[in-house]
Amino acid sequence: MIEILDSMLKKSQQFVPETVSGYIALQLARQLDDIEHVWNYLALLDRQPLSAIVAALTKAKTHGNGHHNARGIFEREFAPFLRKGHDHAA
Amino acid sequence: MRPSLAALRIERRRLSVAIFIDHHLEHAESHHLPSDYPKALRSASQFVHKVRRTFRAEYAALDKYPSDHPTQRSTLIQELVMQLRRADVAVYEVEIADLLAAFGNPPLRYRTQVRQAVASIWPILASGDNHPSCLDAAALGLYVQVEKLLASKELT
Repeated sequence: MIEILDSMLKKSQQFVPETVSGYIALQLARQLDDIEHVWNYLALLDRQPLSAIVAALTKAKTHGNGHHNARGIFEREFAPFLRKGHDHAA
Repeated sequence: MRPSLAALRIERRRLSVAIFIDHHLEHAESHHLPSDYPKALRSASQFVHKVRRTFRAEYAALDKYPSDHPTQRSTLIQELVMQLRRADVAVYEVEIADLLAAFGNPPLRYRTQVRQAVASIWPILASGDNHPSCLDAAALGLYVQVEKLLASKELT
């Protein structure tokens, strides 16, 4: 039973893009060291223009000092779109 | 027409190209190469020249091929890279490990898995009319275009 649950958990953490947006979401999550929330970035890409997302990423990288801080800056740009703990909800 | 990126997948007897403007796939085609090296080089050069002119390609993406084991394929790649650079085309050479890592979490292990992902993104590339190496070219192109889009400043 535990093995089955482990296997299901691993599958839920796997992500292989099936769309260009999915691919961009994966790279975005990687750059912000937030891979476990890749679905949130995919939902964000569905709702916000890519140009705004790239601008926010650039700002986060410029003003952030390391991944964690940069992620915080990026998230503030798009609250409430990036509420954590709501993976797959979008 | 806006400048485009030509992603080239070079095999011993085949050259496939995928054309991108930003992260949009505009065109893909495959070209058969002769077995004789001088003829293959001439054919590949003419094909790349035609593609470059037709689609106004200012960037190119290719697989980074190890040069420590020279083969007909690696020699062809090196020659085409030189020709592209002489024509003022910015060339991006992509490591296979980077490509595998980019197309999945956790990173994919095999090129066939990358092909499956690309076939999901652009099913038309997996149709009977297209050679599977068009999928490889499209993977290269998407990788470079999104790297260019997002990698304006690396995190430390």
